Amino acid sequence: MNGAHDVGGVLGFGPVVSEPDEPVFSADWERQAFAIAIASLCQGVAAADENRNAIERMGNVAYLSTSYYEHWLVAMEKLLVQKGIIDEQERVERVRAFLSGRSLPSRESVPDDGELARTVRDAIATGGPSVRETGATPKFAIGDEVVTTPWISRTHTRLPGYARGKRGTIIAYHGSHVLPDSRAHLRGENPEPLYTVRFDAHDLWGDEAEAQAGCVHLDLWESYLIERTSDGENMENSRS
Amino acid sequence: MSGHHPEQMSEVEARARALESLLYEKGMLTPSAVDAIVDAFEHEIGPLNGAKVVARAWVDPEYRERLRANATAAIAELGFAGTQGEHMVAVENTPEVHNVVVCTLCSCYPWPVLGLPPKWYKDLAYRSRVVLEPRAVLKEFGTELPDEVDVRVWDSSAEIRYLVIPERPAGTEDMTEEQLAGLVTRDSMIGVAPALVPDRR
Repeated sequence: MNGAHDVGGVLGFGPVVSEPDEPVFSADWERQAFAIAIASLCQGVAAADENRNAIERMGNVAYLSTSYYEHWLVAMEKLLVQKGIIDEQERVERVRAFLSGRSLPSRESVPDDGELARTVRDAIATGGPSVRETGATPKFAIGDEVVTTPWISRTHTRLPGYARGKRGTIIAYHGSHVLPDSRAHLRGENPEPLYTVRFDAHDLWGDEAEAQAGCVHLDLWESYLIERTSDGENMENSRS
Repeated sequence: MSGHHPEQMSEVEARARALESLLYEKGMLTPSAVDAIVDAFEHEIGPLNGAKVVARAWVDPEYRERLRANATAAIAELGFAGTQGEHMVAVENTPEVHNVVVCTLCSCYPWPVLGLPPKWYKDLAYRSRVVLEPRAVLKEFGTELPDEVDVRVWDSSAEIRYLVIPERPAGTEDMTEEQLAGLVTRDSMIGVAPALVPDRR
């Protein structure tokens, strides 16, 4: 989606601030939000692509002014309601109850045979590959020159805005992978050939590229890419 | 994970607890599952895993070759695999090439080898800037690269996850693999800093 999460090349966010000896989580609610998300995703409540899409749709102002784990929490609030696991009304009432002093139930009062803990531990250790055997013949070969699609997207996509309509070179092929643009919107996996594309920094940023600039790589699905035609040649000539 | 000091609870805390308690009631979450997830990422899965991979690559040229050819399989040889590391690629820093990793669209990160990302990696400043001005960002981390070095940024836009193999520091010829792993920092495997230089005694 053409939204505020797509920050590559955006100016004005200030310096990078690195905190020494930072803990993995800095508050209990971050642990809870992360655990809720991982347990839900492990149980197949939603695909990671749906989670990312939900985050992208939380509203630009909210996105830019809240932290990583709050993004996860927002996505889970939306997805758990969307999937019918939680009712929005009961969620809102429950939040109110905690704000007025309710406590979490004691561990002992929650039925727990350890089965879900084993399931999530296995899922974290195994993961879920996105590669699919489709038998599809990749359209592009390593070394091919391509141009990315130039259009904005109203739906979930993994082509960042800064790389739209840019020329690049295929440097690796990874087989066919589940297409996030499709799975995020419950339109099936629709796996497509996935490539690593190298972009010269000058092709991305023009004169604003750094001195001694190198290159940026993106992993892009076949439908994001257009063959470089004679127009591309012309584009190249007009640059010199 | 108990809810102490409810009178000071913020809205975000209440929202997290609301979901947690509702999921307990729906049978979609258990206290031991919460503990298992938190414990895995606080105590088991972290940059020490990636450091072992890098140290092995430094001492074992055949392992390094396997890591280059199929990083997912080579990393699994050391027992590291799983969520957000299903499709690994290792990129090597050399005197001529410097690699640095980002995810501009969210904060994708190779969990099995590095654990969960530090805050700066998830922040808007790093995500927005490192693709446009990697040399300037690296400089803020204290990493100044000579002009002739080829800077390569990897924006993790799909499910491929990148691990940077930093250069082995000079003067480490006599160190064991385990000692070498102690020089390999999280930041060096993201590509914003070199590996540590051993103490000279």
